[in-house]
Amino acid sequence: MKRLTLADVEANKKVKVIDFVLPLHHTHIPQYIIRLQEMGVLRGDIIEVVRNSRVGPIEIKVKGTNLAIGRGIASKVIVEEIG
Amino acid sequence: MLNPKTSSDNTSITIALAGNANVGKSVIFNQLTGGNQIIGNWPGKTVEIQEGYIEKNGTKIRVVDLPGIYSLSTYSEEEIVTREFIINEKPDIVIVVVDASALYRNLFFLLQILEIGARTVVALNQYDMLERDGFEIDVDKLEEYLGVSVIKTIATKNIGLKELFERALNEVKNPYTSKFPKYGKEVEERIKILENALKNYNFPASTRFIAIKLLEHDTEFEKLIKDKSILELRDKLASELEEIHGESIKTIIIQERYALASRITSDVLKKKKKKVVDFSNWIDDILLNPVIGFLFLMLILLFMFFVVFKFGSFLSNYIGSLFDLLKKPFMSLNLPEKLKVFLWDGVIDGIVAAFGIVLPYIAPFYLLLSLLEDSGYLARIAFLTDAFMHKLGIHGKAFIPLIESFGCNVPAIMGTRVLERRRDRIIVSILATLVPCSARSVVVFGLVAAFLGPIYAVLIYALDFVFIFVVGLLLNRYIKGTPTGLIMEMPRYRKPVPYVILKQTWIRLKEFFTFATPIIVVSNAIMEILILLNLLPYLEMLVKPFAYILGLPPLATLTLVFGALRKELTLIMLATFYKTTNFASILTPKQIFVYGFFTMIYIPCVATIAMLKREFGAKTATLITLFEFVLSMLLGGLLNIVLWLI
Repeated sequence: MKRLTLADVEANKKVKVIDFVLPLHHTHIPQYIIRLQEMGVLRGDIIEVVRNSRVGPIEIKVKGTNLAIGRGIASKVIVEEIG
Repeated sequence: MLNPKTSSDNTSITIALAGNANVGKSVIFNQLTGGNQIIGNWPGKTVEIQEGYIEKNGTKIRVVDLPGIYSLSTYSEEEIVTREFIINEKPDIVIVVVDASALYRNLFFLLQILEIGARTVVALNQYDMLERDGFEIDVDKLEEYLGVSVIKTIATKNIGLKELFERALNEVKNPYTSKFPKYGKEVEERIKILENALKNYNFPASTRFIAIKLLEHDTEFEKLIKDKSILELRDKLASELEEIHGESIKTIIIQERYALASRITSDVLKKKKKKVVDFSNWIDDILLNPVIGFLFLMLILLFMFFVVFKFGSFLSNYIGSLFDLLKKPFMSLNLPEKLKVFLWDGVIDGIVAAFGIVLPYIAPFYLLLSLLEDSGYLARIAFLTDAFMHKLGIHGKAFIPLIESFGCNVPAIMGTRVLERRRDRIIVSILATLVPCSARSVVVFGLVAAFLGPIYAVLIYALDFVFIFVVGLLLNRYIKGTPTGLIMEMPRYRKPVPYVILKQTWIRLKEFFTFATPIIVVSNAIMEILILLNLLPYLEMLVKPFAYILGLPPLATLTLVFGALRKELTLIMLATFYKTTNFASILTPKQIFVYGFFTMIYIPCVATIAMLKREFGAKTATLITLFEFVLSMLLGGLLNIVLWLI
């Protein structure tokens, strides 16, 4: 089963961060995931998707601020829809 | 790195401003320092640091504006510079500027500054935004949690800044003990163990900060540790924590900081009243719409060019006529004729070119661009263009230097510093040099649009954009390295602040003034010497093979050599050599088209090459120049053949 990623979530939906996909053959977490975490996207966090037009970046609201995340990176964030 | 500086004497104080991007740091810096500022480069890094000097009650105060960043890791040079500055330069106090309306995420950064152990005071800025969101912050409680002074400020309205400044100066007089944030028990225990092991080291930062950085596997700090056993101990402690938390050690530390930030935020942040409708999201529904948003972006850019070229040509003509007025009295001076000609054509003409031909276009252009930046729209441009830019292996932020390039390529190459990695910077810089700068637009308008019609000028622009795109695809394919993605804060729209705009404009123009102008003036003088020494016929011989490939007369091709000094010189030299401005009488329509297109792409001008050298080294600059020259000869030749066939 294909897991739901942040890139798939429609606007105005809330999701919970479940995990981050590591690229193949990677044992260390890639730097962009660390950056994403530093910007406040962490496992267990509730994120609101503000904008997702299926092309281009996703805009999310996390920890009270809005972030734009490239589609490639967003597809590395495994999420679960809530509410 | 990390050589402790001798502590400053007591008649001078250094205040450093630190904080996230978009928190109003620049506004505070301006309010504190007035106009007395300098912008310098941090040694060895492509990061600019701004400093301002003021004097108060006989004390010299140096205020340093550190780059806007989100963490103190090694993700970007800006982060490294910030922590190196705080650790090595030991400012007497660090003012951490916090966006009150985004306290949670801003605390994440603030906690890291406290970890260093530097004396800190907090400016709780943009407090009006927080109130508009319907919240308030319990400042006393926040001070209690952090152990440092917190002052509410609204920098754009100059509220709270006087108090902030006085409090900061006051704190400097008092003794300070570091206020370290405390994390979870398991992590704290292991930080203690590592701190103990580091007891015999003498660091310029707090031992605790070094211990945390070592736990995070920060390579810059690992270099400081000669004792292998300490790193082994670190590995053991880190893997214990990874075992307990089921996360990587870097993630654990991030989680710890955010957990504390969360506790503080939920305790000090109080809902007061209903939120005032935030227009940002509403505006973005339109401006970030994949269709309307793009149309709007196109309109904005076209509008910018229209205004700039209308205004620029007016200003350029005006300044030109002013200098023409001066020419007569100058020529009647009692000096040898040859010297006068050399001084006028070789020296003054170069200065006129810089101030009269290029500046009138780029100054209004950068003013408008800075207006867009301060209003928050540039982040939207990055958002809109991200998908497209990914085809070139770069992300949306790279589009901004490309827009800057339409003014002048020199500041645009500087502007690539917004990108995190060298690979991306080189790709974008190459593309930027192919973007028609204002000088090249002058040529296309003055030659192609004037003698062939505007539609052919548009065609040249279109060809150039296709060319840039194809080059981008090729570069992405053949320059090694994995593409990076976009992670960017979306600032709210806000009313632009005039002096922030003026300052941004100045930062962009500064490279043109201090870097490009001297090169323009010197190369102009060299050109004049070539003419005076009568060396042109030899040069004309040299360019003959190239003239053949492009299907242009050798004398016209020779003007392209001068265009390498400044692009608009191509047109000026064409008029000088042929003694006419009716270019239709010297070039066929096909030749005009080839000439116009070739001028756009054939080589970066000397000032741009010099900037490429400064940013990337001589080897890269030479390679880029050669690459573009060969490619443009191929394309120019191809265009010549195609036009000959039809």
